[in-house]
Amino acid sequence: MKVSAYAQISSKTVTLSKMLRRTLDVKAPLALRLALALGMLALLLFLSFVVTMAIGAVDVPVGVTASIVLQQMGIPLGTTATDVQWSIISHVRLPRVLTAALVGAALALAGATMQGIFRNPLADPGIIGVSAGGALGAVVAIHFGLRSLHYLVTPAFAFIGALAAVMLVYALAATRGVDPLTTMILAGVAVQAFIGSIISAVLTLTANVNAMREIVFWLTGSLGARSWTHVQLILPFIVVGSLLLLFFARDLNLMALGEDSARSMGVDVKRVRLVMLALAALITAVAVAVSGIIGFIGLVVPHMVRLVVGPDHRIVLPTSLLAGAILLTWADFGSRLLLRPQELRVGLITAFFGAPFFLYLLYRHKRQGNVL
Amino acid sequence: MSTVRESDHVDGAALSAEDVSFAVGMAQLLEAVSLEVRPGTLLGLIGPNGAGKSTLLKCISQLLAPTVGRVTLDDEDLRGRSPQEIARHIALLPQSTTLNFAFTCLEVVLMGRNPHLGRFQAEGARDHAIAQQSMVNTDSAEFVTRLITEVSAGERQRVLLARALTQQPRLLLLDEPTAGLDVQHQLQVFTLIRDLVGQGLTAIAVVHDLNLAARYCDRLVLLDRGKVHARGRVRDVLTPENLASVFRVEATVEEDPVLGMPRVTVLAALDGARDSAGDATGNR
Repeated sequence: MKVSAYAQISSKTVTLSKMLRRTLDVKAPLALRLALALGMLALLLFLSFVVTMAIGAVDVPVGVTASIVLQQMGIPLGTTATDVQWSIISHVRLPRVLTAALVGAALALAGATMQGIFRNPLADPGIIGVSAGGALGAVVAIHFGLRSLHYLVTPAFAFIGALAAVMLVYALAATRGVDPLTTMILAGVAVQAFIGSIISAVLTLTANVNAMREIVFWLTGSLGARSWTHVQLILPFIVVGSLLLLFFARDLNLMALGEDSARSMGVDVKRVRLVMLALAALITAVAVAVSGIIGFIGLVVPHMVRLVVGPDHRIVLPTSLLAGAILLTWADFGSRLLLRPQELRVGLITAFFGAPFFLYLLYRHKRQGNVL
Repeated sequence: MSTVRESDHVDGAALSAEDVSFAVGMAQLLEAVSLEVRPGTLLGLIGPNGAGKSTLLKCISQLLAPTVGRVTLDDEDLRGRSPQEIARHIALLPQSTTLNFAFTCLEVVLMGRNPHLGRFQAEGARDHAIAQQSMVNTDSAEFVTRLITEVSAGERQRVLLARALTQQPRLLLLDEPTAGLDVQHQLQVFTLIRDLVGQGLTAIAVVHDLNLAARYCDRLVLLDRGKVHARGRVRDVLTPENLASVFRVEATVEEDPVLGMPRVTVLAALDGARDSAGDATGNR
């Protein structure tokens, strides 16, 4: 019974996606489709910002919140905000929401990139070991009490750990004469298991209960108490990394037809793959460094985006960027609100909703013989 | 299938491969293979599984760099050219293409314009017109908005052929272009390739069906274990002796009264191992 109901819903989603794609007709100019999608998402992102910032321990009227955000964006329309409201919005909630948006954008874009490179719609930035490596870096920093030196020590260690893990996976996968994509996934699994065991060992050795709590919490990502410094820290990396990734969007389309086809159409597959993987790893590492491990955004967002705009990466990549920002903003909002006044970890929320979605994709994959 | 328009004259290129060898580790996949294809002709590559046909196509398109030897297009060495530069002259239809992403057929065909576009340039009206014509030529125009993941194997192959033609190549490489197609579409694809060749395009096709090879190719090269066993006109290559020593089959070759072409009838598989390489080359 349940299965057939599920199948019904899923066939409805497929029809809906076909209808949506027809409105965004493939014959319509690319620039128009892109502008339409990005315009709508940008508006939605702004609205998400304002609404999620207005509600909290102290509620600020939505209009007032909007006026403060606009003022911060350099559009002075005048504001009736009190000093307290101004302070709450611009010093506490705005940096947190911006961090959420940046992390969500980075994870979603990295996910869309990975899925394109591995030609597997179920790939996720986590599979090449970035997240695990970042976690190890942070755990080491916490265990040795290094974080008391400076509050950026943990992010820095997480960043180094994430990049180190990726480089290790790379080195393992670069064995001659073997399909590098398969080996990379296998190497990613092995490295993650290896790192997981080290993290467990460090946990066992941690005598300090507070440090232990913090490690456990770090393994499920959070965006609590993120400041402007965090925003400034990740903004340049994510902006530059993302722009460079968008540069290769069409190559990703061609690579969907396979390595031989792509090369015969003029794509330097090996070089493009290397550069794109490195960039995706970089922006994921930066995101992990300030938020901890937040799963499933990179998997879920590109899927939802493709349902609406189709598989063309020239549209999928930039729209994933904005959709990821929106989704994590709301997930973070949920984490603040659900058990108010207590805060949930946002990584819990994304996993709670993301894991069933992943299973649903697997189910559809099995039923249709392909995903999307 | 509509025929190619008169105005679509293609400036086919002359291809020459000189002593091309390719090895992976200890395995010598190609050994000193030389061949020449004149502009506006179709060369058929035949040979048993593992003879090196696909490898040779990849070496010609520079997907694989020959260990020894050189490949020239209109007397220009292809070694060291960028993939994009090569793609403006040579298109390849690989043996199999797996697709997990639900592109529309038109989107797939338009991908063929890639080597002609700048990094951030979107396809323009001219690119769309070329893609459209390729789809008309391959009898796939009706699939424009269909998803490539939802068309049949034969339909997909025609869309992918349209994709290759959209590159506007001067040399077209086809790796078993009719694999998985029904009889009607086999003939349609080869008729189209013949038309294009008639317009001046140069083409090399790996063909498993010897009768299709006999009927549509201008010349044949018979590969055996990485070496050229025989080459030349269809009648000179498709002999019972060559088929026996390379394919290990007993076959008759007669003139087909309707087509006026050699017709191969395979009678039985021969027992035992194939001739040693030394004996095989004796037939050249």
